[in-house]
Amino acid sequence: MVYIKKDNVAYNLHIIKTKKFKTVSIHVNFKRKFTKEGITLRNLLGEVLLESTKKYPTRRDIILEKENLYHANFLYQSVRSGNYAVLEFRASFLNDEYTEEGNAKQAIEFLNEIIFHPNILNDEFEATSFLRSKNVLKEQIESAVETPRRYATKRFLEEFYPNSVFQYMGPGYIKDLEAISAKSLYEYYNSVLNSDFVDVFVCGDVDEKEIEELFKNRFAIKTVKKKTESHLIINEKIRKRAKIVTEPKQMQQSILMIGCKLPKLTDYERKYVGRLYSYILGGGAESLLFQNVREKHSLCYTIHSTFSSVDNNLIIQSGIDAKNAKKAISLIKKSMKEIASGKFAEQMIDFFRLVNQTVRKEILDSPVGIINLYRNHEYVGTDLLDKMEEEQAKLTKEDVMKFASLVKIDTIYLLEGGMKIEEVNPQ
Amino acid sequence: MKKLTLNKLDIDVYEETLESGLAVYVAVKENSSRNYVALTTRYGSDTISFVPRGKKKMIDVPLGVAHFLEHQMFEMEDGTNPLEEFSKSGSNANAYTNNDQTCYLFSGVHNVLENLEYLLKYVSEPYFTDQSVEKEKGIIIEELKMYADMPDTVLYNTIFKNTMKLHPSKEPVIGTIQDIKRTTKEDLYTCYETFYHPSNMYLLVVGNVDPKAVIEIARNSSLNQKHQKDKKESVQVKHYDEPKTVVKKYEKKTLDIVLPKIAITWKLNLEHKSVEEKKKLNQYLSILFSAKFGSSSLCLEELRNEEIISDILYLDRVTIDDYVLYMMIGETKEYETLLEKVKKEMKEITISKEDFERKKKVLISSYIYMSDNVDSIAGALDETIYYYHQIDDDWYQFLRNLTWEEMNEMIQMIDFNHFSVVVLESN
Repeated sequence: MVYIKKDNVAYNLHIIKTKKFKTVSIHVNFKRKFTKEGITLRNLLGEVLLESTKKYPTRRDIILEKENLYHANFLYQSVRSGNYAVLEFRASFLNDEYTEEGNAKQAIEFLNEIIFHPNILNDEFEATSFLRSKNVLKEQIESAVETPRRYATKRFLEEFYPNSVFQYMGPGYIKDLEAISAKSLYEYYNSVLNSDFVDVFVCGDVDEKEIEELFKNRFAIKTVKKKTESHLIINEKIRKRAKIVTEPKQMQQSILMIGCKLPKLTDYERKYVGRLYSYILGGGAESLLFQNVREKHSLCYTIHSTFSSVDNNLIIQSGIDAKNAKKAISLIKKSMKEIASGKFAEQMIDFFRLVNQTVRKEILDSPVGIINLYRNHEYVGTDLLDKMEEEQAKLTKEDVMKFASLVKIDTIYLLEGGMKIEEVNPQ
Repeated sequence: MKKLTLNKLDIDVYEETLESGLAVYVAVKENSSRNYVALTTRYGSDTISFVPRGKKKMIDVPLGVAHFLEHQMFEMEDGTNPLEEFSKSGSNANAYTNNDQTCYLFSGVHNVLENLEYLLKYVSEPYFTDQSVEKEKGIIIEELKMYADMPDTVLYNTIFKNTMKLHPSKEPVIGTIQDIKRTTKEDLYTCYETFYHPSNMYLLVVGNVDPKAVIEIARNSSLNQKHQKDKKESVQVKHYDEPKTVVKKYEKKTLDIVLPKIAITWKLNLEHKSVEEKKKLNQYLSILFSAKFGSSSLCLEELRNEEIISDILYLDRVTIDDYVLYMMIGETKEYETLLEKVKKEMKEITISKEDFERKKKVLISSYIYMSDNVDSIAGALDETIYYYHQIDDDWYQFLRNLTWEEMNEMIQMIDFNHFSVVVLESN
């Protein structure tokens, strides 16, 4: 595997050459500072560009072409990475060896068509396809909170980040959507092409010269280069006493979410210790939460914690019975105290290293894994694999205990169910 | 040891049936770091009436026993946790139960052979106590409640209930709360002794492994050794004379959702078809439904133009004995109009030759894509092992040999008149 990064002034081109896969994968990433309005705008833009192009005016035309290109895949994804919003267009298609001569080149042309040749009439997106995309997104927004877990996450974030933009999440907001016109979205599209930071990642058995030429001639990105700022979120206010919010909802199970904001961490704590801490607390079947809450007290089916090194927080989630909420919370607190006082098997640190040994190897088994590795390296300074291994080897029990002393509960949110359960014999 | 080289793919498959009847399949993919190993018993939630091994009388067990048993297999007599054993090498272990299979699996990079040995060991050592069974009830009930709160679970449970009259697949895999509460350790032991016999199981290994070593380990395992001299007898399981008709042609339910959902399920009877015919029919039916209602279909384009459907129709397929259920799920307020449109479309069970050729291209391409990912390879092989008891070394040619003429001929023999409609209306 060979990694080449080219600074093409308006955008960075990252080429990862490997013969391992039967496919070529391309990710074109646009990023800018995260705002609430941006969430809906960027999702709608993704929808519109994949709904209609100049040459392929209906979504059916686009999908027929994807099928004709030997089932090539094109999709978009709009996510937040700390302070930044990232709109990513992905293409993957088979090597010519498995299709026919010229198919890969045509697939790249098609990606170019999708991003750079939208269906524009009189300086705005063509009305019908714009409306179709708006409807698709409207439904996505409405149904996003249908599953209790997504609803709980949305409400939790509102309580966890009351005065901050980070409470907002995808796929967007109906009011913001209604305010977008075919014209204003076209203006936004142009500003994305002109001012978003752009990184293009290509992974597969490709000729770098050929790829470079193809992109140079086709990719009409005119970004004026500025310096990108850090993605990392700094928590300005951390509560001393946890805020507790309970909300009733018509459902059988209750969902408990606990959020902790962390102070400014060192790079080492952020990249390595935080993940180890979360692994010991609520990473898997050996974790303290799984053992204490599920196995010993049979209070839940799922419980886990996640640490975000970019958002600088730790979130615990569990599905429990409403009447067990107090007990579960006290067991969670107890587990956190146990780590802080060093009451955990040191073997867990070895397990963590081994799990990561596996993770590092498995990253190389998938093009998306490889591209994400270089993307995270570019965006948030994630170390590459060799360095990762070196650093993980240094982790100690003391590191974990020190980190544990920094973890304070900020918000406890309980979405309280408890509907009568149907105990009818189905026969 | 029989060796098959999969045409067009970089995969060799080795197979051998051991003395105890355990079938072993090893798919070697040399450039993969990740390995996937699964031990499966041909026993799932559908089997609730059978003659226990060594007995003469047919018995009934509570619903959900197969799933309960899967949970309890992780109890060990010495108090160790099997999941932890896998973590020692950074591997990931899991298990799942569906209608007709219970599967114990792990994936990872290191110590595959040692882990395989352990997998075969822990699945062959049942240890259930009244206490462990009681403890597990709380966990499983939380799992049930988690699923019960998801609109899709309600939809699928209703589909099966309204489509299958006698066959136990009409009930959810997990059972009901009442069934979970009345499950005893004796139920678990009876099911274990009957269905976890190696002659009812198969082992599938995918990755960069030495097939000889894998087969050696399986041969020396106590699972194989203990049962070498057993009489080869198949378990007598209750047979259901499932009628061709559905139970309920139409049902409407109300639920806390934003947009109504409609599911149309065709109950297709494939009895008296040979394995070869079933293999072909499965492909032809997929092509048919995808060409008629998939994302590149004219029908969907019209539904979108008329603003009945905003995004896509979901297509799904489930095989139950001699039946195959094809489902189409849409989200729309205008579900009655959608239903009429679909009925009209199904009046003519045919597609154009051009559509056929394009869909065939997609199938062949998907087959190539599949081969780049160890988990996808395992999924594809498992399907053919489970349903056809064999691996096809030239699936590529099999797909290429499919023709539009043959499709028309074979599809004509199928009765599409039995379908059931479920509507979830928002309250």
